[in-house]
Amino acid sequence: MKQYYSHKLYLALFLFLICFAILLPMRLQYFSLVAGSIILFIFDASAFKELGKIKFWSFVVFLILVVPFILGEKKYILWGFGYSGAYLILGIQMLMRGLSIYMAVMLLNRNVSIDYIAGIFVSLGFKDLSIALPIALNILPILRRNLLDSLAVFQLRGGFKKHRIKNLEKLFLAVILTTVRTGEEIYQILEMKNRMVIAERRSNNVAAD
Amino acid sequence: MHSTRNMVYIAVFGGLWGGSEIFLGSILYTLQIPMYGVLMAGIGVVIVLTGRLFAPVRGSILSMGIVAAFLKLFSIGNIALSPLAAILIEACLGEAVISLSGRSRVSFAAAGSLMVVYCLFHRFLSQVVFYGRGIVDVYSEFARMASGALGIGMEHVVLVILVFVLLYAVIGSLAGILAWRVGNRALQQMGMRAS
Repeated sequence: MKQYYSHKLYLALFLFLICFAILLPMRLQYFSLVAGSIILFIFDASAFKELGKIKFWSFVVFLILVVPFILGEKKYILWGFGYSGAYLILGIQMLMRGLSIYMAVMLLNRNVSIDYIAGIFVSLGFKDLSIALPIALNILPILRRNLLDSLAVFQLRGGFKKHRIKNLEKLFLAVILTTVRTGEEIYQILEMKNRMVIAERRSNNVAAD
Repeated sequence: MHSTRNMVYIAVFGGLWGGSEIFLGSILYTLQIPMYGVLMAGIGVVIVLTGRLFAPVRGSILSMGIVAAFLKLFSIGNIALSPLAAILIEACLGEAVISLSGRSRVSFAAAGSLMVVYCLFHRFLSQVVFYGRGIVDVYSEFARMASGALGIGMEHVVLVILVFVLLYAVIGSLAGILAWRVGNRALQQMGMRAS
């Protein structure tokens, strides 16, 4: 997708919409819906197509069409059934708030990259994340293989047929030990690289002198 | 700044937590296993608290949580706020308990129970953020209606919720104790000492 504006702007708009919807009283939620619609229309109009996710609307149908017929004082009649006006209004207000927050989340989802969010965490003080995250991403296949190997060995040794709790502990221990060994190998490699860099710098300094 | 070894342990244990969320979580979700959330939270507790024994520095649980949350996001492909928030809040709770009370079997059990109990309320809390306090009215009214239909008092409904909380707390504390035992045995077998 083409990126027209900066990540910072989208993040600011997301935060604004979320705060606006949360701080506004329920009876004024149509303001947040209007604000959300305008912002989405200006900054990412194609996102409107994605508003039709069934999971969200099924809950809305429950709130607006089911809840007023079941809960509250039934003052009105619709299709031969009594329904509560108060719960209908509450349902509509909740729909407006939910929709505006949903729009804000969509704006963030579609326009801000995960790397940028990770960068925010790094700038917040989690400096190790810039090193830990690539390590974690790269060792995922190894961890998966270790996990599957541990499970296979566990099944060959009888699995959960006898002494279930003890065996569960053994399974976790096997997984943790393989993980720690992987960690130690990575640590050794990193240390080795550090030493090589230091040694190279020293030899360069000696040559310069 | 953590030492290189601690940083590597944060990466591998965070990776293990994130990996289990990706591989196991997706399988359990697809199979629609009942209460799979508590199972995943329990596994997360064992991994992250064991990781705390190997990276015994303040903030390591939170860092592992951040690593796990981002791995989950990378696997989903975009910024899904709900799993991000769930993992980060769980990690914050675990970090708070261990930082305040130190490392012991009891604190591990307390951290585990708090982390698992949170997963019971996560969906409800995210709905409150999404739909506002109105959703609380709807659910409490439903609870009142259900108690009336079943002919039991409202206090019994509260009791049922409390039983669930207790059940989750017990599962969490067992996971915490398991983490303590497994972590210490792993430290012994690797010839390391808990510092």
